[in-house]
Amino acid sequence: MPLPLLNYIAFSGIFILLSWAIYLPYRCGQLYLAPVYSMATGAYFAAYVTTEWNWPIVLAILSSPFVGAFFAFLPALGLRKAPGFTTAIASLALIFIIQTIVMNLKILGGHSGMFGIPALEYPLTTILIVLLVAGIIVYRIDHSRFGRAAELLYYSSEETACFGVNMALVGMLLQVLSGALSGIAGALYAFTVGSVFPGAFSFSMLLVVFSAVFVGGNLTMWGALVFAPILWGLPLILPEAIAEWKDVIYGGLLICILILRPEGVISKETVREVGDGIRKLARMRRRVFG
Amino acid sequence: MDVFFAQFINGLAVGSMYAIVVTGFNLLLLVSGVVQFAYAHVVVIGMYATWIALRITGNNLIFAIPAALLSSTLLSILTEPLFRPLARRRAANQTFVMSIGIALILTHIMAKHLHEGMPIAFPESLSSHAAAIRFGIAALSIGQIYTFLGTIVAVTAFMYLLYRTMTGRALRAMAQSPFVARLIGIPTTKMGIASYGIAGFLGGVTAVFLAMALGSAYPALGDALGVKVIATALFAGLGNLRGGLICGLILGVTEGLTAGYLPGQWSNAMAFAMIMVTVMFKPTGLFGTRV
Repeated sequence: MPLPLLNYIAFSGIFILLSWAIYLPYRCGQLYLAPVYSMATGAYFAAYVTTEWNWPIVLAILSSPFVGAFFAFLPALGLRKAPGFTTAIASLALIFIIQTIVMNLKILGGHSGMFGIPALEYPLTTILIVLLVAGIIVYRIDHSRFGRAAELLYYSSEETACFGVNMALVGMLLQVLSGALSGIAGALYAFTVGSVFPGAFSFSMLLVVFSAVFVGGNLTMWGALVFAPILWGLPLILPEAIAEWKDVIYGGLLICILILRPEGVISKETVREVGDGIRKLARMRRRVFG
Repeated sequence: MDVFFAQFINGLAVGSMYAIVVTGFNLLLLVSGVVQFAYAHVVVIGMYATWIALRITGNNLIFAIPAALLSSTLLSILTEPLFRPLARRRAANQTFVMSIGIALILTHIMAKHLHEGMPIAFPESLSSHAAAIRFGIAALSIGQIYTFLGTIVAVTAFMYLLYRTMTGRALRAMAQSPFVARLIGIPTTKMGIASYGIAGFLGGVTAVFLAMALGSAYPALGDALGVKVIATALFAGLGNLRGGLICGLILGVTEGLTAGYLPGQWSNAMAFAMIMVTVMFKPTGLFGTRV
């Protein structure tokens, strides 16, 4: 497979994981921007254990969600009860904190970062397996009692409290799950690019992810799945004269979608209609072919 | 002790600029319910306007200051229609996301179409760091003196507007309850636009002071400043005007002292860590939220 196509698929997978990492806490109304922070911890962990301790890549990938989850758990202890917007800013601050910490730690390469990270032997298979497992987990959460409690919390915290839902626990668990997804995205990033440096995990990493979640659909997991590859691939296929305006395109899309269709392109109704359409087609097929 | 004093003065100078920007940010949050992350980018555009005016007029400050004020005010007012539908339904999270979209566009304009994305430098006459008053090894530069005095004048004028004029009373009424403000006949749309204009004006004032203090600007400055402004507002308590002033100064002093005593670039991390710890134990901020 040509390298540009492989890189496109790899980064699409990474951005889908990061988009789901933002989507999960947003289910309960928390705008949580720390996936980049958890991604940095996962990436540096994977880079360090494979280059310094010679861990096998598989072990590093399997451990990275736990590392990401742990580093998300620490601030979640304080942020779980925070109102939605407070979480957004506090989690944004985490990005700058982790950047400064890794910049000043010689053991992690300081400003230069870490190089010579081994590459994945079967990159496409690995990323597809990770996406499949992550997708199943996110789907099961969405369609569980826990997911319904989170959805109710999104619409009304008073009603959620009346139902006896532990809102702080819901918030914390979603942030920890978000950290796990971001951690593994970080590990995949490290093994795809072959190096990690502080500047890679900055606010600008959030831009494609934000666009995927809010343009694609912020109340279903399918929005991020469909739109992360589209928005990531858009600058790659457009003519260069237009592609250099990608930031304006992303910004313009965000502005337009929030004014015209705040729930995003793929809303819950869209998913329901598509599901109904597929069931109708299946019934027709059974009637025609027996 | 001299190092402490020198860094304390530097920190106060930087903190006074944070204080004005946080005031403008809190005004938008209180009156319109809008979390304007791109407000810092509006300030940086004001800096670019100052630089362009200085180049065109041969470093004439008399034209540069109105250029900064006008550009920031106009740009701020231009963003009002975009936020209006979201502000009506009080969707704070979505206004933040939209402001990120606006910030993306403004940063792109600065990075690609203003001075080809290269940093801009202000003339030495504007950004003079020559010591005017000495205290041992510590010194107050002319730029810092103008910044202190200018901040005091700007904030005093703003507070006078807010608490001693009918416009200010209308703005405070809208901050308390937009519904009741409309019922008693306050033209809420017009006042909303006015709040953007006032915030933009304050941003223009900050742009001039930042040009004096930093001596240069670059496209990514908006992102760096924007995060600090919002974090400071959160630290003080969202919408708390007086708290925002004090916490802006505290943040500046913390950054200054950290830069003086710790190696590397820990000043940013220290400031954010301080804010995070406060928010984790007191989510409503140090002085309490007003929204």
